[in-house]
Amino acid sequence: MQKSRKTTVGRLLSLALVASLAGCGGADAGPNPTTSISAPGTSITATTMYGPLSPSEKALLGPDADGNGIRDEVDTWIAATFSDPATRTAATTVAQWQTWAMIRGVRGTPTTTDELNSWDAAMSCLYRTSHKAMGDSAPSVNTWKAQLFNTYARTKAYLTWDTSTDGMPSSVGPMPCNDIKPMTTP
Amino acid sequence: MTRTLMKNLVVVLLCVDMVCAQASMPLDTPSCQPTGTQIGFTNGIQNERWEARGSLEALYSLAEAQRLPVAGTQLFYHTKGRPGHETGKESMKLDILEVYWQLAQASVGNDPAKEQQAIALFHHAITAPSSGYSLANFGGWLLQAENDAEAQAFQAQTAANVQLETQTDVGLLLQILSRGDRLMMAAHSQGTLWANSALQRLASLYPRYAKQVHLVNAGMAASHVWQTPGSAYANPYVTNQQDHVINQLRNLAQLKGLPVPAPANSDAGLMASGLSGHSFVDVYLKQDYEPGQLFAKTFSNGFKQVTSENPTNPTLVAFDVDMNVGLAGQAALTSGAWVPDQTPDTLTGPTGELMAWGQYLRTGPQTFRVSQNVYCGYLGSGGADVAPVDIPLYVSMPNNLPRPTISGTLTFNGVTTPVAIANRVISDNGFLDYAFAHVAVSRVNGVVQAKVASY
Repeated sequence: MQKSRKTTVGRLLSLALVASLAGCGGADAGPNPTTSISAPGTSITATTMYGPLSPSEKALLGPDADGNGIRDEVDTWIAATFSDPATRTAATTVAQWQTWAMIRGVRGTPTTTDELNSWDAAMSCLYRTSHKAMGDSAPSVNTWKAQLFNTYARTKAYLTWDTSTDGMPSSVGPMPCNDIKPMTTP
Repeated sequence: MTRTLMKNLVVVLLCVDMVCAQASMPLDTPSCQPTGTQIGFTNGIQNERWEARGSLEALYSLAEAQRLPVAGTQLFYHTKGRPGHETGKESMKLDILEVYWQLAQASVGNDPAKEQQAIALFHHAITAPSSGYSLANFGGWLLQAENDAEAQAFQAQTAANVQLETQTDVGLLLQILSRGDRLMMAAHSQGTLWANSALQRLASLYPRYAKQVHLVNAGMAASHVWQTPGSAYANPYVTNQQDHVINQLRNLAQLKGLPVPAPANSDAGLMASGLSGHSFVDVYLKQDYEPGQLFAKTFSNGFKQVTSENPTNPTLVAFDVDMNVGLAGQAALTSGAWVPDQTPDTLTGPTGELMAWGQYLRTGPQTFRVSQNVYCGYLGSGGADVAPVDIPLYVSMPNNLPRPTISGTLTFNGVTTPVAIANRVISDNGFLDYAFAHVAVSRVNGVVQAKVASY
């Protein structure tokens, strides 16, 4: 790839990453710390989001051409489903956190309270923004799961993580989109 | 003991000014400022966390529609199945075992002194023949152990897990309530058993905080609703006449000799086919149905009640406890991960937990740090002087293990104190809680003091 094209692509990817990491918009948009933003011109890969991935973890993630940590077909579904910018951002954040959960599920590392609160805040942010923008036509959890966990391996990884959080309560403030902390290594 | 007490006594002067107190806290320390009235939700069986969060969000939408000023949402999550058994029949079996055990405990009022009675009732429930009731009627609810040994293993595993999760719920309750927040709780299905027992434990350990909670149960598996101490307002429940899950459980509980779910008190009438009459979101929050309308009214009333009953916004002081505990002569305290399918002889579940204010303090074996946790001392309103408020720090161990010998250091606001555990048992509920150290917080002549001492 030519250096100038690389820089342009890098900038575009940086902007995409910034947009996806900016968290929820909508009524409670506010400062949302995103320490994993790369400088313009930096090549973004899934490694930037989740750190180095093993082959099986890469398989869980699936094809991710733009390196935003989301499987490409999920990106396509999000773009087609959510026209409201704030909701699309929230949806992207959810997809990233659920991918994080799958990887964390196979790694077996215990989830901390902070991570759990951020995961919950991401789900809450999506719920509030999507129901505000779309009402009852907002996709259900089952629709989401069908998109995200469309293989046995992905379902298993996700459920393994979910069960590992058994009995762990979580707290979300009045503005959940502002409660999503920077993603840790899964 | 007195000499040890004096030797270990540490007096720490804290800033009354909240900014000053907060400036000394770690950056990620939660604030001790009250935020208002929170809403909370405890889910039932066969729920993944995403679904439970969805139920809580639907509850939030209901509250928002009623213009209730919700300060935040608290999810008291209990998963389906266990690690390695997340789906299918095994997952359902594990959930049902929990329900049986929780009902057995409820039959003796969750009294730890009557644990043997609860064990006997549980044993009977899963070993007695269920003649006259077919799998077609009850499906997976007709759970039976193959023999006494299996029944004992089921009881031990289930009881320990329920104990741990209940205590973790209490920990979150304390974090919310100790900073002066109120909490309006809703619970659904098995969640009504979780909520009842956690709130009962909270009330027994910290009765002043229990006053800051009201509860409404929906699709109630329990026979009663926990009542807020000192409140004239009776916490209600809503159970649909057409709730086929609770109806089934009611019949089965009668058969098994377990406490029977309270009778239905509302009727959704004709519903779309495929609905079991049990769904929290599709029935108990749905305003098209009478149970939904009743739930909305009672939840709103409870929210307003708990807020009006607890109007004070006291000046609170935050303090941090950083504990490094070494173990002597005892197996390492684990992180609490539960290993399923173990016989009692090779039980590898948690051998003990270090706790403060009901919150587990652990990151792994032998060394426990809680630098991220801040527990707010409730010191009353108006900045008035108050007598010492004693907050115990304790180790919780299963009561069938030898008494521990544990010593270590406790770092409080930068001052490190050696402390040793004493043989002082402060509660027995299947787990023995050994007092480790305590913090006495008071305000004298306007100056907040905190004394850390060993027992």
